[in-house]
Amino acid sequence: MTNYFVKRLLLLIFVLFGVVTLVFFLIHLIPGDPVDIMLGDTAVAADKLALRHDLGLDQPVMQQYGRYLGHVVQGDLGVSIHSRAPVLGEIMARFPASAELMIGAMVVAMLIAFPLGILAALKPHGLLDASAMFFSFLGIAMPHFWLGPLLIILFSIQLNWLPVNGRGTLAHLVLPAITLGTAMAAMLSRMIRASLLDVLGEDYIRTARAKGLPERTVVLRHALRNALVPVITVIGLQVGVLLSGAIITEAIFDWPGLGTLLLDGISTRNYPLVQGCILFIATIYVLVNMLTDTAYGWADPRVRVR
Amino acid sequence: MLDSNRNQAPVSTLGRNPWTACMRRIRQLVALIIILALAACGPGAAPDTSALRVGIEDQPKTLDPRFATDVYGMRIASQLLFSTLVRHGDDLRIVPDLAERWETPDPTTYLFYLRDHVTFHDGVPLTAQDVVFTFRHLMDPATQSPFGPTFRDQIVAVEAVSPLVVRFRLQQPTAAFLTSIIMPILPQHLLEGKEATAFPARLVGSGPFRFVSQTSQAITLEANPDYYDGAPSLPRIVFAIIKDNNTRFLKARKGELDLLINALPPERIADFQKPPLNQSYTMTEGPGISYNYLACNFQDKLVANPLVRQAVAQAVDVQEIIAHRLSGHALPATGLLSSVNWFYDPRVTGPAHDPAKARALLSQAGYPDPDGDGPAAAIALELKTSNNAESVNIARILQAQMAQAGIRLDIKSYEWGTFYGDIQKGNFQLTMMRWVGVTEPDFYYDIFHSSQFPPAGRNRGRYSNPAMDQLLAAGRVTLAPDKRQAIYSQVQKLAASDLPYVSLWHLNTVSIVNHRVQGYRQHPMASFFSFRHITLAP
Repeated sequence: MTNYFVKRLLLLIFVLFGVVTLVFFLIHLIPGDPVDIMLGDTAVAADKLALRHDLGLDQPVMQQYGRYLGHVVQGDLGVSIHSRAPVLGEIMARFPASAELMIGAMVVAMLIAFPLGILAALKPHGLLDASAMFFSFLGIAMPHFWLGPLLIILFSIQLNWLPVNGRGTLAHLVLPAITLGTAMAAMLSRMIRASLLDVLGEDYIRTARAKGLPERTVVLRHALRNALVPVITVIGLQVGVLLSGAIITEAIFDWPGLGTLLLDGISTRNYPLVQGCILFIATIYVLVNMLTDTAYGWADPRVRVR
Repeated sequence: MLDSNRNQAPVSTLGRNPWTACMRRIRQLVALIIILALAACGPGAAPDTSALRVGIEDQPKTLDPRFATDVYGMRIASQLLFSTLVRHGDDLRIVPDLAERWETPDPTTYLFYLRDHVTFHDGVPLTAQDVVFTFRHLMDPATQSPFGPTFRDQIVAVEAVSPLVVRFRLQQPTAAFLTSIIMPILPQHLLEGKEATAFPARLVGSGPFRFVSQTSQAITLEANPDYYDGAPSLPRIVFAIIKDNNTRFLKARKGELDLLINALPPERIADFQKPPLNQSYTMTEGPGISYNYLACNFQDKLVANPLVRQAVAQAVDVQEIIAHRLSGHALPATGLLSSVNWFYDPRVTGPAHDPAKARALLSQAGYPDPDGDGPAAAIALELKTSNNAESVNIARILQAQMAQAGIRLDIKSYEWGTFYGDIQKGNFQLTMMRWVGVTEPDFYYDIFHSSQFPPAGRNRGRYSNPAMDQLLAAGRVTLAPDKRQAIYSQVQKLAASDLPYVSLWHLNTVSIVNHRVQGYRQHPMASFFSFRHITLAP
């Protein structure tokens, strides 16, 4: 197991090196000059030159890359072009909000997906299955920019149960988490249904039923656990998506997360901020997938990590 | 890495299994989450009803007046947190602020007489030395202020004549000088000797409100009881930063916002004029000063042809766009200056919408329509816009309108950074853009003088006409108001005939005001000057 972690950590270094390199060159390829965007229309050429020099943007790209890489190795992600504040500080200020939203969405997704997926698998092709799968299609089809305002109208304006926007109390988290978690719930429930249907057809399930175990025990204790492996994979992959891809949900609910920070960085050509955000998200993504791999063994002891 | 060994036995079903314990824990956790979620229900923290709650669309990049260039950053800094020597009055003329009065003993010298007993928020008196420090600090290239170049161009020296008198010596007579020095006066005692670009931990100005806090969701200010013109009636202002148009509207609908100034899309405004929202809000509307236009690139052979530009202008039906896309909340523009600007010349008119005339002009230019009323176009032009949804929607209407005049308009929309880069490089035929906050007619120099091609200036269409150059050069050094007005009347006429810009519209200034807000007075620049006179009904 230790050997496995060491190997994965070494791999992580290579992955992050690849990410740093790719992002660095890709963002420099995008047209648009950060100095133009930053200084605006009133700046004169001399001031633009001076700022370009200060930011090191007048050096050859390879030299900029070497310097950036040197700083990253020392844990220095640079300074945001606009606020002049350290990038890592800006990311860490937004990360708790993103993590909170991700966990909230994940909880919502699982609370909906597991019962739906299991019920659908128990009576395949019945009314319950059709209803559950109808919900799942609906969940996948509903875009966040439509579902979010709809939830606000219902729960914040008509019923006055929850706040419209912002972050602060647990109440603020409920609507963004439902908005973000619904599509994932829909996808997960389909996956649980399919995986569980496969497992329920196995010989050992027939054996369990034959020896008189209650159906509840057969499904929840024996079948579900073995059906979890593909579900865990999807959950692991979704962590990265939820962490960085919640831009629309963050915008609707004014949730101060990493998605909008990254988007603002891209639109203002804030190179260090964009590079830092992507590097940070990639690190989390790789770490979570490492944990996902180890979780396979927990769900199914036949699967061993080497 | 993973090894699935199918020969092993399935998961044990006998005896006490850690899985059973785990499932129990999961059930407990689910129950806990449901309890917490139910407990969470409640409209959140009670709203602060003693504060004026203003909905804004975006977070200012900075409130530090040395670097603030976006609309909200500049308004909050220069109108609420800090004071300026002079400011814009309701008719956009310059009126006193910190300077009680000023004199111009000769065309290149200005003497400003400051009010007595003005203090910064930390109690330190504001004197002529602070004014001198402010302008020298901004002119210092090390400060890297975007305002530095303008002051370096205009000002030779700024000095304190006495504790309450400041003298500016200018390079040459500069008609726009009073407008350009609308700049927050900085506290010398807090900034001198500090690294120029270091942000102060707390913004200390001398304006009617003091800085309290800034997060990504809200900016909070509190009343300055020692403000020279009397303490504001409002104890606090909270600027709620709500980026999404729908959410901002819904927040207002719930009654959680008191004031929205030009902060709702036109199609949402009508909701506040009918029940139930008109029972809580009033809508105030007046002419605004923002200017939407199509810029023509004179480096492009096709667009450089005056007949083609004339055809484009006559193909556009501005009234139709205003009526159907902007819900009537705009006025057709004939030029850069709107009707509220006292340099505006009402005698100047733009080309009328006339698709038949546009076709005739194209034929005259050597581009006859190949198939009469058929689908083939006489010419094809490319319109570049940002990928802002509203801009793209309007571009599509323009596309349909131009098709009727035999012009095939290809729309190219890009994300802002790419779009702006292309425009600066002159890589466009037509582009749709907007100028915001223009009050001083000398701005014509920046956009139409032949010395102002990018990257140094903002004449992005590379328009060049010696007659225009001459007028603009004269306008910026002529101080007599009547003579200046005559010069800029000619500029407006020439611009309307040369068509470096095809004028579209001026968006109206629209305020949505909660009934509990009293004393708010709308300003054509959508400014925050009147906030200190606002009171809130219980």
